[in-house]
Amino acid sequence: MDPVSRRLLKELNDYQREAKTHPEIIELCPADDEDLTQWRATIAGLNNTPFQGGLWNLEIKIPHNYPMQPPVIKFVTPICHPNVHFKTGEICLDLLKTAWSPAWTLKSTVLAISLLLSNPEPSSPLNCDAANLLRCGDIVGYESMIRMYTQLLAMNDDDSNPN
Amino acid sequence: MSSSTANEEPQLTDEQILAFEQKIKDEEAEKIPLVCQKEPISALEEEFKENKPFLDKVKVYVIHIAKAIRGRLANSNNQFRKCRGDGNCFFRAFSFAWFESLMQNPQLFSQAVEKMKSSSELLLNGGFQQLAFEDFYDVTLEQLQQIHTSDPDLLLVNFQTEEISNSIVMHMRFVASAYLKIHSAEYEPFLMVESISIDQFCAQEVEAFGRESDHLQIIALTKALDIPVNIIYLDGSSDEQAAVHEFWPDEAAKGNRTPLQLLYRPGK
Repeated sequence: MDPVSRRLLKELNDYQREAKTHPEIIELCPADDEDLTQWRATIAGLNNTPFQGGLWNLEIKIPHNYPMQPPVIKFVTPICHPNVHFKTGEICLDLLKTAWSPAWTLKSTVLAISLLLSNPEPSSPLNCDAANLLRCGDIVGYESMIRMYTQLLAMNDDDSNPN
Repeated sequence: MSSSTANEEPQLTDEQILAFEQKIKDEEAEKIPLVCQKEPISALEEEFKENKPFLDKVKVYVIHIAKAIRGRLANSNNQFRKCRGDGNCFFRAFSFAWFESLMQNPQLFSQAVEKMKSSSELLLNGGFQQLAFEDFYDVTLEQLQQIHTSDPDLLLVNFQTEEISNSIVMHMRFVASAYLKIHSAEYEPFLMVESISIDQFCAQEVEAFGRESDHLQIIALTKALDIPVNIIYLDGSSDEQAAVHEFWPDEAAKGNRTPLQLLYRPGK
């Protein structure tokens, strides 16, 4: 087995063993049993945040030289968030780009994305409308917009997401 | 007219820009092996013959090396190796030079194996997850343990094999990082200017694969593994001699041991 697959299998075991300790990650696994380089994850919005009740699917692509290079992760379920592109799902998080360290795992990376939801960085926005509300201090407006999009797009009981 | 052309410029995502940069670096890097065969120092003189400041220093460097290896096995005399300039060259050159120096020294070899075994403890103390470092650690320890039974050519072949060589680089990066994290009180003041925390520095500048090393990384690695190193810095300055930066893990033991000699030079 090649080293990347060996590493990924270890990560899978580690996640499954400790899944209960991370309620914000609903799922984290290879998208397809045959191919370990494509994973999917589902994260849940935390209680007492405007994301509460929402579930978002993520697509995770693992490069051939992981973990030297970071995984490429994007939102599949649309999300309204200052640092996520509303249409493409691209995530602006330094960890996924310039600040990646090979000491991270897929689990810790997905946890960091989950943490980004309630800790937005409006100074480097991919969604300017959401970021502008935060920047001008309109927390009520910001939170109600997030709640609206969470209800509209991330609370479907029938899973309407492409993956 | 001009403004409309500007608007039509393709918008690259950060990933595309990073991937593009990486591609350029990779293409450049792949022109030479990760670690090369030995060459005589005269090859450096030849390369820099049009460049007087460098040439003078190459000559002084030869003298310096001759001094440094006095009393040591003579077979490394006046030779050097190139290492691929992919940002990992310090960690790779250090590891290779260290492993190579142990080949004919059973006492240093067994000390080195003990040191390497203790490095997993160091990483755990530095806050690393076992899962994240054990593959690199296993490869590095295995490579180290087998050097006393294998021949020098195999060492070179293994260091030229990306999977093995890069695992060793990663383990050394984690070791340097763990050392800095554990001794953060001592080293954090050096980062004040850049106003980043030691954890940020470790993630972005030490652990990050392909990131160039500077003083802190070198200090951390030499102290963590207790290996003295001289970095001979060839540059274009008008000084006659190349600057030699000495890294002694323990100042008191200075002079009792032979440091590894690493030559830093610009270009390929």
